[in-house]
Amino acid sequence: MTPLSFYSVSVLMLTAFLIAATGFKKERFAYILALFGSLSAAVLSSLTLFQVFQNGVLVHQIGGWPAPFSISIVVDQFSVILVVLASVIGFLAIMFSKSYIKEKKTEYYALICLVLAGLLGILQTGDIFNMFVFFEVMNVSCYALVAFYKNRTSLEASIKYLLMGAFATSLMLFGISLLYGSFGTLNLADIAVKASGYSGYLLPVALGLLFTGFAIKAGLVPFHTWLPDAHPAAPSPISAILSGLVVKGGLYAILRIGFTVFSAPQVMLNSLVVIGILSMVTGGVLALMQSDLKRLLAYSTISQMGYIALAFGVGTQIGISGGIFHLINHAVTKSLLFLCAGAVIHYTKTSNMHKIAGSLKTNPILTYTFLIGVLSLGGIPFLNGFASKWLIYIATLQVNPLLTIFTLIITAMTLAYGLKAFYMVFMSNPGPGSRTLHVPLTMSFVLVVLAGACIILGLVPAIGYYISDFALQGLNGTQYIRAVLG
Amino acid sequence: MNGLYVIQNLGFVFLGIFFLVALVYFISRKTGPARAGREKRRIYACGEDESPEDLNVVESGFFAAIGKVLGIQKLRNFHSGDLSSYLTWIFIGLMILIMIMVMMW
Repeated sequence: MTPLSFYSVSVLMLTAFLIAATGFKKERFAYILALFGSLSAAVLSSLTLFQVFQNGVLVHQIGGWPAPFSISIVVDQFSVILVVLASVIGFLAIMFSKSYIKEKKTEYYALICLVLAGLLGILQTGDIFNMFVFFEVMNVSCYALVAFYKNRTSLEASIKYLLMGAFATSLMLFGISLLYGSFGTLNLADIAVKASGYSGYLLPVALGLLFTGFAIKAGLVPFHTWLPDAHPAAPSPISAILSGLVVKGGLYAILRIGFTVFSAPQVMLNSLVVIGILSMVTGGVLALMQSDLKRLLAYSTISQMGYIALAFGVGTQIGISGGIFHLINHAVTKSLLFLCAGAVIHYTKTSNMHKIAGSLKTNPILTYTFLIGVLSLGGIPFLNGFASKWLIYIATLQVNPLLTIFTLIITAMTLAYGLKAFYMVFMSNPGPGSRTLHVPLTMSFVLVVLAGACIILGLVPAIGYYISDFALQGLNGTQYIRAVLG
Repeated sequence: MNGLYVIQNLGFVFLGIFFLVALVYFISRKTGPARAGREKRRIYACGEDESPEDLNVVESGFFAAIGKVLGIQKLRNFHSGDLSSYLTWIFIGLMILIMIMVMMW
């Protein structure tokens, strides 16, 4: 059965083309087209969720040839959850952009559609070279969006991102060529079958190259250095997409290749634990020291990606479930925080918290949604961040209690830098000449929806546990191979 | 008694409590003592006049002590913004990772 979400990639690419084609005449159509395209993608993705619920793994062979000769499109329980998450948050980010983006709308909306198309392609393809191509579609659009403002900071950040991204893609390509040279196939399921009986040195080298390439995309330490420059330089809705979704693309690729193709070798799990710990510390400590709001959130992303990597590295069922749940929660929460920051920066014209402090009279919607985001990220009970971190605490406790103590310390650190940002931005006494911040209806709606998701997933964590257990089935290599190769 | 019946009744109970609390709050606002005036709320700092802003904790330096203890300056120096050093870090990470993968496979 063809997954309906497969068409969302085509819809978004067509939308990007239409925006570019009509943008020269009427720039105002760009927003409507992008909104319509992303809404269509979100609807198609949501319908695919029901397809997967009913039929299990969905496979479509392009051209009708059998695998491994065709390019396989595979949507399983894991990828469908991420597809829905990406398309819904993408739609909300586009909706938020209405009042935010006032110039160069054609370029902006065409590129944002391409980012989403690339990401949805990565999540659905069953072919490793196809995955590489979708990574390029997504990243090239991201480089351009980071350079959107064309000032010194954004251009420098974009060039750094481009060079490090190019380094990552060349490593990925090198790894793919090693796999193709060894097994003569690019189909992930076929590679998994052929790699199971292989004992040469090429396999760990290929995995090392692919792992590094994807870890650069995922912003994990020590491969993270592009991230703190790129995320703050981009327009805030793009920062939300970069932090909430794009880095997850890199992590998804690590998990798809590592778990499904290579059956989660112990050395890879150990590497994930070490890299996760490094990311948690580095991101958390540096976030604590920031005075730039978006840079603080960018470092926080590195730290939270560390949590997710650690949870997957633990390798137990609870750990992987916790990792999936935290991945979803982080996407929602960090999008919320970046969009709140965007609303503030849009009016104060600065992301420096010292300058923001006292320059605005707070808006209740913005204040409370930001507070919900901060408390959720800090793992406060009855919010979604607590529910997923609780699973991570249990998983680490089963393996090594020292890891649990460590994660608790980093959680305290997360709460500390989150509250610091909240206090500086929203709790400072309004100084002379401070303006009341009016948030447009579309922006408020998006913030309330995301904050509502944080509360619902926190008050009823069973929803999140069910979703993560459901997604966990998708990482089963045997089921994946049987569905693709028959 | 089915589950829905209980939930519906719980809703009425919560609603009742909410209105009761709102009523008590409203009455207390009307009948309670007058609120403290501007002079009453002034901060007494050993006889000196100090504005609330001056007495606030400096947010940016709030975690400076933790930073000094943990030696964060070194970590910040690694994030100098220099592209060459960034690529060097990535390359070192790649080499270590491949060595570990090959040795422990």
